[in-house]
Amino acid sequence: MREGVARVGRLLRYIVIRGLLIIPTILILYTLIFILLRVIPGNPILSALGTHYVPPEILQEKMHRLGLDKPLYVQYFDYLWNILHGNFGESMVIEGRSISKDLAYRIPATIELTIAGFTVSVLLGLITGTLAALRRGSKIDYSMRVYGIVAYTLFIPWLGSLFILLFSVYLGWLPAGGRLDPSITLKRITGIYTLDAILTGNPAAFFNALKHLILPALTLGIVLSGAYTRLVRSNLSDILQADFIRAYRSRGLPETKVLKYALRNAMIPIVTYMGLQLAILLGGAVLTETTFSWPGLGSYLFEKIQYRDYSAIQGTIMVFAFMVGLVSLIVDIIYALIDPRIRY
Amino acid sequence: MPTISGVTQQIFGRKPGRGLLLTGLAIILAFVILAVFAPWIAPYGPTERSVPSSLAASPQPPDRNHIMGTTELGYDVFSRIVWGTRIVLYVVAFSAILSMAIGVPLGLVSGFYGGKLDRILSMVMDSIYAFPGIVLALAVASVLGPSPTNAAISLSVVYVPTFFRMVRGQVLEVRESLYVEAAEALGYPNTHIMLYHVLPNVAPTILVVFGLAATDAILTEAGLAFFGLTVSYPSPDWGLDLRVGLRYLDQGAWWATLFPGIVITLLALGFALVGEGLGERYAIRTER
Repeated sequence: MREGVARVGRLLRYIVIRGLLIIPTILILYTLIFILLRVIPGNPILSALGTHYVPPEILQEKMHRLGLDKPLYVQYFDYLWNILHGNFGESMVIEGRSISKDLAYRIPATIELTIAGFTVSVLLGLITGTLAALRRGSKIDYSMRVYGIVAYTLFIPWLGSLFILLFSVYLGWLPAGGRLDPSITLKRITGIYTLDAILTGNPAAFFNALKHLILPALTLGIVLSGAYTRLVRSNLSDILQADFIRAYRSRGLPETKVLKYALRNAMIPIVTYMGLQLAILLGGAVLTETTFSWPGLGSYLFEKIQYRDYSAIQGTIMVFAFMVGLVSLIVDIIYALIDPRIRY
Repeated sequence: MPTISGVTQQIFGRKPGRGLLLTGLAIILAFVILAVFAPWIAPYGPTERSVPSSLAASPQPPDRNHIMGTTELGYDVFSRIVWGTRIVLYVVAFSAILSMAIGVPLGLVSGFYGGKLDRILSMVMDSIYAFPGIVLALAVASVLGPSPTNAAISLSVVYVPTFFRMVRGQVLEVRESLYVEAAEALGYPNTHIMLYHVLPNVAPTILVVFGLAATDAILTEAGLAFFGLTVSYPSPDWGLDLRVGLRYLDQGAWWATLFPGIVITLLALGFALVGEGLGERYAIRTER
């Protein structure tokens, strides 16, 4: 009992230290984006408004409103202070429009898509990689290797467009975009629609939301699964050669059980990779969302880039930075829990 | 000094990864030919209205005169792909060379000398590396404004850390080797050791990373084009054409998205195979 408490205490300490380590990462990205947005040639407001001339007093007023008339170092710390309090400022294009509200509305959509895409990619990677590893050198192995390379080189909007064409335009089975049909009502709790539908006991909304989720999640999942295919293939086939597996086999353990133990051992490098993969996953989500009009951070970024709304772009990038930091923290924790070699 | 026969031996010799390498190089070469000879290969100009105006209001399916169909404005899809190759190859080549030209020396110096500079540089590079590449490229490109050169610069911001990290890691290993120690004992200056003893041993890694970074750069370039950040429509770029084509998908105009997407993936595959083939030959494992 006392041992258990000490263990939890050590784990908490480990989490805090790991959490502190992501601060420099986020600060570096913040600084980079800040410098970047200040080197825009010309006045960002003029370019956001898409004109060459605005009366000086109006421009002055707008600069003041957005805090752009202050010295740079004041702007640097002001903005940092504000985003730490969840205040991402105001849109440069639509006056008075709070960016924090926009972001808060869209973050759950991106989380839902990312989790679904992640699940698809891991499942597909495990299946294809295991198939290849079990029949090393066979035709199946060869085709799974090709799959591993090709899947990675698929351009997300292209794969998405093929799915839309097949499943929406020709077959009419699944919707081509959006998250929910307008005719369906759903009470928003978390903003993750499938979860909200379960929480409110609304099966119609659940299946509708799921229908909208399938194609985007499949698109994102397939493109990202290639890397897992290769990782599972090489790790699992190494482990299947190991002595302890031969020992299991010689003891007459059924092949499915052997595979279970082998897979468990192959998981550690795969979990490490999941952490690296999540950045790519978030990047892929941006393109997936734009293809399927999925109202998340990615399609928000798309809209704001079209309008050159720099304060909204900056805010979105910072949210991505926080998400990357948070996710790498979570992966570190999972890693510490499953890998007995890590001491904390 | 590498000789020409040495280089051909490297590429065509019966060594592991030969098939992958040759297939990849053939694909890339085909696209280079398309780009160079675009005026002779493309039957129409990229923004030439190639169908009678009565038909020009909607995309037309492939036929004898338009093997990949036409767009809603009557542009020939095949011709636009051929002309677009120029932009895509320009952006990708420029960005891959630029990020290599910055990332390799930085990684070399940082890994060789170590110390405070190394720690700071590594931290900055790791932070950028951990961030989703396409999002960063989008942010930089949206600030710099849409143009092929700006797109190339934005991509370089993403891929400098890739080269830096790989090279630095290799240098740390090579630095401990006997021949570097020997060179130091003989009193060679540091720049000499870096250029003649460390760099040649890191070269295969650089090549593999180049293949992988270029693969990624093609897909990211297509993403930037998709967002309208490389050229402005109606100038041709594969990713942009694909996005415009999406609007006509529900009318069943599959050709306007299918063909631009195929070439993006094919070119990315070409570079992936080269990276893969080189990786197999030199037994270099990468994170991907």
